[in-house]
Amino acid sequence: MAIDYSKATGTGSSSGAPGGGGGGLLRPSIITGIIGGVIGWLLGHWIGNSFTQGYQQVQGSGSNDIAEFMGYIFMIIGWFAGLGALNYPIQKLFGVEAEAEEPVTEKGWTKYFRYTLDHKTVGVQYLFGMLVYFFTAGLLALAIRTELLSPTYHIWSPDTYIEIVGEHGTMMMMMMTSVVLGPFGNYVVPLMIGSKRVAFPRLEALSFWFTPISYFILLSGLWQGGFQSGWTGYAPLSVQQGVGQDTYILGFGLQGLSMVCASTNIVATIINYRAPGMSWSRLPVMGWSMLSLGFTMILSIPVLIDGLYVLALDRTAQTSLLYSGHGGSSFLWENLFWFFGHPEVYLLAIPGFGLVAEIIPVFARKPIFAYKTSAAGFIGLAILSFFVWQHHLFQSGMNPDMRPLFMLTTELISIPTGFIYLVGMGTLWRARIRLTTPMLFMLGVYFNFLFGGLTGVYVSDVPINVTVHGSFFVMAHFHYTIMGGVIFAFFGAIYYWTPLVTGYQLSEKLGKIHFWTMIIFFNSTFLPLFAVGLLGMPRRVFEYAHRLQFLNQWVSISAYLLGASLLFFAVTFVWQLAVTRKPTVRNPWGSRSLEWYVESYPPPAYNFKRVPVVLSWPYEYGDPNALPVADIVNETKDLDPVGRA
Amino acid sequence: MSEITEDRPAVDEEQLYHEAALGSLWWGSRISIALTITAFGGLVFAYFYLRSLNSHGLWDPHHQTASVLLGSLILACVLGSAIVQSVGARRLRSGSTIDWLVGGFVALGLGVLAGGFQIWELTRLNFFPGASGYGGVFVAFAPVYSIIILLHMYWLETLLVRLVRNRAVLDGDGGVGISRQPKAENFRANLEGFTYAWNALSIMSILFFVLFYVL
Repeated sequence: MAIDYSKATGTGSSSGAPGGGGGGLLRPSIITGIIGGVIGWLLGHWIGNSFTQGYQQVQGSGSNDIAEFMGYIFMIIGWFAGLGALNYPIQKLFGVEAEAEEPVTEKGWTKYFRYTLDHKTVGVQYLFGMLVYFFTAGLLALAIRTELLSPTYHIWSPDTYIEIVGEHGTMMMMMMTSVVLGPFGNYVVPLMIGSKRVAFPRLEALSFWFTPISYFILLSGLWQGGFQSGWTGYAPLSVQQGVGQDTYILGFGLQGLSMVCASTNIVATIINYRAPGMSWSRLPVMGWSMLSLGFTMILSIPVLIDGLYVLALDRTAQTSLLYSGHGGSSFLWENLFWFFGHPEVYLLAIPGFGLVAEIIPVFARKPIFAYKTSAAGFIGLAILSFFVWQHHLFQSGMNPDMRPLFMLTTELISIPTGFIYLVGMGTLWRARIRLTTPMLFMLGVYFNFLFGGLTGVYVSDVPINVTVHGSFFVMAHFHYTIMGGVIFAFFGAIYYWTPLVTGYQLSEKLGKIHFWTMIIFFNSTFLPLFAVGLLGMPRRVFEYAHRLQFLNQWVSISAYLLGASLLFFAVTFVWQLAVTRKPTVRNPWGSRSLEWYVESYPPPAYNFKRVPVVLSWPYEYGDPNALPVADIVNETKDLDPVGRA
Repeated sequence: MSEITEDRPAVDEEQLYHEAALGSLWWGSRISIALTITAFGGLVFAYFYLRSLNSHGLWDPHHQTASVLLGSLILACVLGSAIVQSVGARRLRSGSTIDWLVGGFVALGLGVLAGGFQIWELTRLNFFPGASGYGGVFVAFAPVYSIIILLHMYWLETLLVRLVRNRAVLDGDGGVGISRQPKAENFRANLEGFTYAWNALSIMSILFFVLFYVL
């Protein structure tokens, strides 16, 4: 029986179209969103200035944070109103059901610039949105490395330099939380679990459309004096900063809201929308990683938003929550921030590991090793990540008796991490490995994470932590875990799923050039930074000892070459999708996972002609007697990639 | 493999996705409770943290609290709203739609009143926001509390107006509280989710009252 999608029936079951009717430029889209945002900003800024006329301390400060906040808040409302995202909630207020407009079947490239309810469109929007984030933050990284070419000759002023450092760090951390869940969680996971839709399509769409506005707000900080507190936003510096700090608060806060929306949707989708036969023991490991990620986000991100809110109040409402002179404490920020901040590290690692564990068996041509252990590893990481945050405060003057406890919990977390590592190694053991581009990137994750993970064990120990705290050693450690881990997995996933998402195959030769240049220059950039840190160079300074010049120049030149490798990817990726357009073959990697058994590439509206019935585990590689993964396999295997017989 | 395809169990897609939507409503409402708890959790942590630190003896040097009268009114409205709505929802499940409609509108009125009182209280505080640790935490807590109350009231209002406008459809087959029609089941799942979320907030409200007005 086919589902009638023509009528919406309320929250949780609605597929009604977002936005209103009408056509042309006035149809809700990114253009009307921008118009709404500009009008909102002007209105809000005016209201904020009018509202605070009588406040001497604001008028005399040279910067009006209240007007700044009001401007941005109204801009956000205008943005969503312009996109048409508010139509449905307002309609519901009056009991009007959403119009039937078949939103998921919208064709053409313009759908990527609209508030759409199709999880695949949202996934593609996220992919390009995250690439814009990544390349912008990457350019800022090159600006940092340019400054550090010389220990004494300067490109930037000290203020500009620290602003760039803050923007780079914040933008990267904001982007990384979404970089797997956004594109691949939204696009691929519903297909993997055999679903035609997601649980909360409006929340999913909302989660994406938070990201462009948070990107713009954060970037606008650069021409408003920036935020010299860096991505950690420590008080009291963050309270004393100019209006640029407001962009940090709002940008980060919006990204937090985005992740809450995305997590709610992905958790409800995986739990409720699995196809018949997709038992928990048959759920792809990527599903387990997304589930662990979702729960971790739901329980940690509201605390970050609390912290940002408290900071905003100190800056606008003249509370003194972060100032001990009036009964507050700057340590309140540190605790609220790191209660989110350390789980966040695992919010980045978990989905990266999920991608690796998902893709490696395809190219190892053997079943994933210790499947249940990998699921336990994800859950263990998610739970333990809430008990380690105080290790960021070892140097803050915390009670010394608490240090061993948090050292122990931090070391404990290496156990579930080790589970996931061993799952990969066990899968590769005696496998017939195919060294395709996606596989190379996944192996690269294991190589890089070895450095990042092992140094993580060291920096969790109090004596070493005290020695290397605030140095380039720590900076190198987390770049190895995050960029070496999740970003390598991200690029591998792009090469892996591009045939499915676009219908075009990316060149293996170009992909391998990208991989080898990236891994060589990545290691050439970050490995020497361990030495730089051990030799005593602190982070966030733009002058350093002459004896460190050679190492810093080496790193800077390596960073340029790493940038060139990424530019090579960007150019060849766009070129292959826009110009050469080599059609893919069906299921090019020989995967057993359900997403490859859709009727056509890219998958049609509502994904499957009928709901598949899952018959077996998706990792039965190398077993000729294994059942097909689902009953639709035989129906689609003889079709060509565009769905013709 | 052909026999697998032929013998596959018949999947009623409509029923499958209907049940998935009900499950999503269950999970969505529980996640909203988790989000509310963690959002308030940060502020409650701030309360205890600053209270225990008592920096420079400035946690609450003059023992000034927000208006106990207004705080009591807010708590009474929230608890009253939750109780009336819960009783109405129970009556709905036993077939009396009108009881829930009346109870729901009363609960809506009380909830909006609670949110309004909380905003009003913020405008007539007898302390400066930065005067003490307590003052700061209260000024942080009050807007979040009123916004979350009003968001719950938005949820309740959409349920009420949905039933009012679609009563002919929803109320058939013995009443929306009993009917096995998918739309009625969906409505009940939504209402059940709201009831849990609103009751959870009302229980948290007792804790907030103790923290901000009693201790």
